[in-house]
Amino acid sequence: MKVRRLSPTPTKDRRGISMVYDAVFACIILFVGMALAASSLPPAPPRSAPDLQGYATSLLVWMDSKGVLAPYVYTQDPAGLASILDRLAPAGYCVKVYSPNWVLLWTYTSPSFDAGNAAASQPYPLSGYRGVPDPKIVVLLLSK
Amino acid sequence: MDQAVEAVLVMSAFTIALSIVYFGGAGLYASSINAQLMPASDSAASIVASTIAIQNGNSSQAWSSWVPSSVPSAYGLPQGTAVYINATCFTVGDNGQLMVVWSKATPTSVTGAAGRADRFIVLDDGTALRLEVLVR
Repeated sequence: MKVRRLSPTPTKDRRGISMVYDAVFACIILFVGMALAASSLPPAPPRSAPDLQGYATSLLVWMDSKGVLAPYVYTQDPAGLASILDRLAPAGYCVKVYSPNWVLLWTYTSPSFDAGNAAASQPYPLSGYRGVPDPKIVVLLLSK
Repeated sequence: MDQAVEAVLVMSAFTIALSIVYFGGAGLYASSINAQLMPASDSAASIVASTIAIQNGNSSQAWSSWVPSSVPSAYGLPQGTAVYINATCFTVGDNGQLMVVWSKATPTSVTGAAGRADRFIVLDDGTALRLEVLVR
């Protein structure tokens, strides 16, 4: 009498598939372990930027003393401001112009500005432009 | 024979996965340590920038004759520390354009993540100086 094999696949194939399952399972364990280890790493602390506050304030004072701050602020010319700040700012920057009662009039942010590592200048007042009294407040934020 | 080939293939795949996890983990750990040490590097760069700024003050003559040094011991930093200094003096021309008066930098360069400090100093002749210090 001839004995028929009950299993549809040969034993050696089963053994090969079993090895593949083992390897896939081991890889899953590895990647899950790596993900757990990565999630337990402490987050990067924010970089201190205390020197940037003085930098930004000095920059605004110097630009105003040279007569290149008020024209760009009052004509709302961010490209003109960018032509100077791109070379003088350490990295990214953001210029905010406020009315005397702190209503934001307009703002310009450079593409490389990082708000998470930024420091703001002291509020810098401008009295007017070309003899016309029109007080405004300028704040310059710099990031590393 | 087939089983031997399968075993080699499976073992190769597992070895590749293990290598990815090993080197990826090492890279993650190194970047995490670098991020933790970055504030200390920023402080070291700030010390260098402050030392240079105190030495020269706001005298345009002192800054003109100043020669940047990348020797770490000159700033009290340990040997092996890479220091990069770049100073540029600016003025504004009659047409409102920014102009470079002079620029000085150390020949060394600092690559990769480095501590950074910046100073903006208005000099006594009306020009302004941008000082950039990188320390690694």
